[in-house]
Amino acid sequence: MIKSDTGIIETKAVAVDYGPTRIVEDLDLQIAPGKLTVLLGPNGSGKSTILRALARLQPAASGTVLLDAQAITRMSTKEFARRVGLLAQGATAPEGLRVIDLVRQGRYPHRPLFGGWGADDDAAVAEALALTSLQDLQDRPLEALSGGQRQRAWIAMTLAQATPILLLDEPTTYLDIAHQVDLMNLIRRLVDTRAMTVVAVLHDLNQAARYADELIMLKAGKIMAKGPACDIITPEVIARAFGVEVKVLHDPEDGLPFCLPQRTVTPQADA
Amino acid sequence: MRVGFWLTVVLAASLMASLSVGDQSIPVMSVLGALLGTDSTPITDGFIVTELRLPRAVLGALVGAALAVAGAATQALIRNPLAEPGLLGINSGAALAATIVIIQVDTLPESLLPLFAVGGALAMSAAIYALAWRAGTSTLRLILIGIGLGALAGAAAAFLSVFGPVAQAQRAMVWLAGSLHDARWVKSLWLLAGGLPAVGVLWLMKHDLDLISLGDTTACALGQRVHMVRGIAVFAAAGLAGVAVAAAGPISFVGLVAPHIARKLVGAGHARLIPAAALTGAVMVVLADLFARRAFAPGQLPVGLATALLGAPFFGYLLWKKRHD
Repeated sequence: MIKSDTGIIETKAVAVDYGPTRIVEDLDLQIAPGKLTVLLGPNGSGKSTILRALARLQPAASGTVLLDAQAITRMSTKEFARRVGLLAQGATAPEGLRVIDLVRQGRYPHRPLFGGWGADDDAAVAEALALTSLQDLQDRPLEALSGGQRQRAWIAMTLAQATPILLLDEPTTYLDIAHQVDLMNLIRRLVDTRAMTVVAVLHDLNQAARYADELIMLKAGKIMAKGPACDIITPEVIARAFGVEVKVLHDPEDGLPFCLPQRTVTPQADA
Repeated sequence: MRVGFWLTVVLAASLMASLSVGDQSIPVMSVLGALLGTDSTPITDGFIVTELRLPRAVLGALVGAALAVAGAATQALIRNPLAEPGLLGINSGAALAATIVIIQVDTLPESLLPLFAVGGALAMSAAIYALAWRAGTSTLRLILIGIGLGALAGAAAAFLSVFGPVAQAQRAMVWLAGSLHDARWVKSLWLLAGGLPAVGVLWLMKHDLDLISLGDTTACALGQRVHMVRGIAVFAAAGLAGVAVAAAGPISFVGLVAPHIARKLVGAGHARLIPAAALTGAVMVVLADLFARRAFAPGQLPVGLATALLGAPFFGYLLWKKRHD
């Protein structure tokens, strides 16, 4: 699964519009290959928009998104989907769809037109089910699963896609704490053992601090700060980004920062 | 595959019942004899089975299969279990075109009615699709514009019926209710000629239909050319439902209900759903037509009324079951 091109994705002077509104302006972003990068920021800061631009779902109004030094708009849709996977927010499946049927959809970009299903497709699906511990549930319809299991099934689908780059839009939202921990550990494992490049949008600052290699703090469509958790989870950065005063403490065992919100200090700029 | 076998058995039994039951009841052995052309079959029985009932049963089965497959594709595209081919403008377009032909019968030969109905269905689908296009199509816009244009076409058809000659308006009403009473072999042939290519296209797209039913974002992220797939599938489904409507008028609820039953039987994958829906739709229309012929015998209901009588409660049940979603 590890390929020669591990997938370097970057943006050059990218602007993204949503209707008449410019959401992201002049964005130069390099995603570290083989690492877990987390996009943080207040509502409306452009986190999800940037992720959608990286996933080619949102066209750039100007500038280019490059994948391994090639403009993503110049690739075929399937070629791109063999290299970049996306777990969208709030995806829904038709009634009666079984876990295995959903995971098999991940092989779409690898299959020829109209068709064929090969041994490597079976292997990729089996591997994805094993990674997400869904083998025992593979014949269940999705609506019969719990929220956490269902989210794992969607992750398994993107894993079956076997892309070196994986984009996750708020993967832990609506999951209880146990499922959140499971999911973040799985993502960490994918990065550590398979050198996958993962970009995730998260809301939880402490979760981001605990799991990410690199944090990118966004505000009003621009990068406000970028770096390891100890540089980003600081009272100054968080006050500037969110207008919230926090107390930052450090885990006595690994030294990772975590923050306790105290009170808001300035009115939030976003709607 | 076991489900497919049993559905085939049920279809065969339904066809057999529809050939055997009628004003003149014919024993199953005689039906078989007539079908195989054995000499021992009474001539009248043979005539009733092969000339009167068989064309009607076969046309009913084909119409049901076509509506059901078109319905399965529509539900994948619209991503709503309450979707049916009528949402793509098929019924309203065909109805308007057919009303025009029937009311204006002096100037237009009625043999062109099926062609006009298909043309109306496709033109309406194209109009809906074009109006919904805004740098791509979205499901919601397709639904809203489909409902709007459908209402407009319905109003136009009603206007023509109200101000047209009474006798013709009456015939338009019968056609609009959906009926198999004028079943002839040539209709089945036309339906096959128009429907098989559309079914073939949808069959080739079965994996794409699986994927697009997960939503535009997911389909796009997995490398599907969503707008192209939706465009081709919309017109294949519209054409398929259009030829069915041309053959028998707008028979309601089959395109909605049959794919649901099939999904319960074989799951959501289109490789199994398409054949299962076809068989289910065929059974539904054959049985509904049998009901329509016999419920008030010797009077006949239009088969579209029978499917509505049977389908409406099911529609209510679906809504009731989904009330918490």
